[in-house]
Amino acid sequence: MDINVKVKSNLRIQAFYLFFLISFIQIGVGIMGVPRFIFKESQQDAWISVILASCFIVMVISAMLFILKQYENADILGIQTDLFGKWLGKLLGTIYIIHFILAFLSVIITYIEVLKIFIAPNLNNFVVALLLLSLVVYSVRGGLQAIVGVFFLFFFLSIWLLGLLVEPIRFMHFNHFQPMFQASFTELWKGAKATSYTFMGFEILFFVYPFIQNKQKVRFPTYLAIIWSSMIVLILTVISIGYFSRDQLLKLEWTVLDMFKIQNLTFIERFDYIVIAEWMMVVVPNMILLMWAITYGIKRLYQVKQKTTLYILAIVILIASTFIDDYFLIRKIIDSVAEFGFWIVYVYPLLLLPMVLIKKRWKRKSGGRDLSH
Amino acid sequence: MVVEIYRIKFVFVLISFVFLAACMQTKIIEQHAIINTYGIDISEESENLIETVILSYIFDEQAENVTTINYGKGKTIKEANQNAEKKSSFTFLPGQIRLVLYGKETAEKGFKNYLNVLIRDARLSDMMYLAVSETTAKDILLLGQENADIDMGQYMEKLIEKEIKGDSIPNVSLHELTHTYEDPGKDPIMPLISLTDNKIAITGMALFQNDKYVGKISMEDAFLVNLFQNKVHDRQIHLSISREPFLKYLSAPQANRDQLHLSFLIIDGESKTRLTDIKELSYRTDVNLKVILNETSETFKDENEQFANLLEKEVEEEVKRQYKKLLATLQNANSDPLGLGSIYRAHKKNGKLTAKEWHQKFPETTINLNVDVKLINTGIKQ
Repeated sequence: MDINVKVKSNLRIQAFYLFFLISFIQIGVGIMGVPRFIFKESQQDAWISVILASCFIVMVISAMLFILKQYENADILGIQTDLFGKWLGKLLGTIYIIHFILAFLSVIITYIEVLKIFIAPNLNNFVVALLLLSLVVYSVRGGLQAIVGVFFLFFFLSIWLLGLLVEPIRFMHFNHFQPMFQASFTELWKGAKATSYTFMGFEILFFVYPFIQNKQKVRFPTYLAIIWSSMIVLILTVISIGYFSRDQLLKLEWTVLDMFKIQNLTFIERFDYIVIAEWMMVVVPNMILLMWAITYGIKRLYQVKQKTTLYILAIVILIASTFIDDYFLIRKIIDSVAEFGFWIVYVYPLLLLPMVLIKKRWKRKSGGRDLSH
Repeated sequence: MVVEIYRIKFVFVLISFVFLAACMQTKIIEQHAIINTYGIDISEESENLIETVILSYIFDEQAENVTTINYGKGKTIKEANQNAEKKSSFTFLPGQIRLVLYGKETAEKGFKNYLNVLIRDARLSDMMYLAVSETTAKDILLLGQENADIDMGQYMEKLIEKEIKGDSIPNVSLHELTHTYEDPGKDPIMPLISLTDNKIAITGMALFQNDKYVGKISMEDAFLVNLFQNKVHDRQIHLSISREPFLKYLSAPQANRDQLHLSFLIIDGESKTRLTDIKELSYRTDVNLKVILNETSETFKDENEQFANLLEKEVEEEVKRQYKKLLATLQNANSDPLGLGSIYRAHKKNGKLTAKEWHQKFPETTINLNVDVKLINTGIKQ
């Protein structure tokens, strides 16, 4: 396997689009329930946890960019092969792919569960999964450029949902935040860790990096995306703390969706229905990009055609999501994705960084050759 | 050729719409009864049996009245509703419930267990109202429906909505209620609905300790509770103040009267409460009212600035006195709808408070009231 990827220039994307890719994939389904999980750990200081988590992510993403900059045009799969050799590299690459598959599965089953709870309890899992997956298959067939197009469009088609939060803001009680700064550092840290599932997704940078045309401009859109998604999570956390009383917040499963429940207009009684349907515009891009990363990764690792993996995996996920409809099982899957992902997404890049640096120095000493050649 | 392919694709998409329509269960409005209001009582037969009265809308051409009434009994509310549904040819839908009425006895035992059915179901709106009947919910809904020529469910919903919009009572929506119920430093409050002269009316507010009905306050006091929590605009207030200080201003003093009755319009009213001493549990509340004088029970000869100042002062005293009385009533019932406990919690060291702890402390709280009334004008008459 080549360490560096040769991507034709007509298949490349502008660095500017990284903003949409990263900020959107971070938000996903996790955000619908995240304020509760943070609040459980650090109570009224939950907002500090979000800030803490964002700072940590900025650190991780700097490490990721630094690693990528050491190579000419490599992705994580190539870098791992370079560092650990063929077999270990492949093994680690496979772990990444498994992480993406699990994340994909967790997204689709969570969304179907939400649809069933909020809109129609008798909804058929198979039909919904089939519809969502057909959209995913269709878009992934279009390649990364089509995917970027979907992200760009859906970003603007779903961003207006934030405007609906004006109503819950009116019902906020500011003494819910008092007394401030009561949580210990451990509690804050635990709260920050509770955001790991929501903020997950920026590891996609390790995969799309070789496709970027103007690499010198990567930093700005990437950091902007992190700040953007952190701001959204922060805003939602602050509003939910103010809007719900503490015991109420701890009991609600989908905190963010519940906030849309009080929104009503004369021509539409219940806005949360629209919000949940609209949420498909957030969920589908997530699934598309994850699916692309899976198929592309398998192609890189095992030289399997992307089309083949795409169809096989779509069928497997379709069957799996038809049968996974038990609340506790879904929770277990999400928890394991969060736990498993925490190490891969947040810890692993920081461990990889010194290794890349050591290897670089060692190579320079022994052969004086650049890493990328 | 290209056009041909597009046409095939287009037809394919159109056909898929037809099949996709069957993915969701269809609900035809003529076959359903849309629940608007339901009442919950504990059955006379057994303590564990719940009796519900359901007011629902039907859309049937033959039906004379849009609203129908059904009753059912069951161990849970859903079961009772289903039993009620058995006596109807329609399927009941809960998505449009606007009002839930608890019988007094039910409220006294606690509404906690009847609340979760409303929160659990995502299809129910958070904006529905909850209220307590002075007798049983059944009495109100049945008698009301017999006597009123308007639709009962909608009538009561509008009745409550009017009071909330007019800033007379605090918001009593399901969201607000669960919010206060789950807040250890605040007790819920619900409108009390009763039958007077065969008319349904809100006669006051029901006080709760956690989820149990413990007493009631008048509508005048309910307004004071609202003023304590929210900003108030354009609301009439009627006060009776001592007549003596005004004797020299009266144009034709009549004998054997000792009070002066006044009506004001509050243009802007707001209040702010702070905790001044956490150990002593003393609070300081500043109430600011901007008012217009609308009506007086007696006429004055000269409404000059001194008169206005005197009037302001006397009204301030009266509002203060009313608040003191209200606090005494609340402390007597040990129910805190003012949310003093939330303020206490916000200033407590670790920020943790239980409802039990607060109910031990609440009777000892004191409020240092500071009312500021500003008479903006007295109408076109000087």
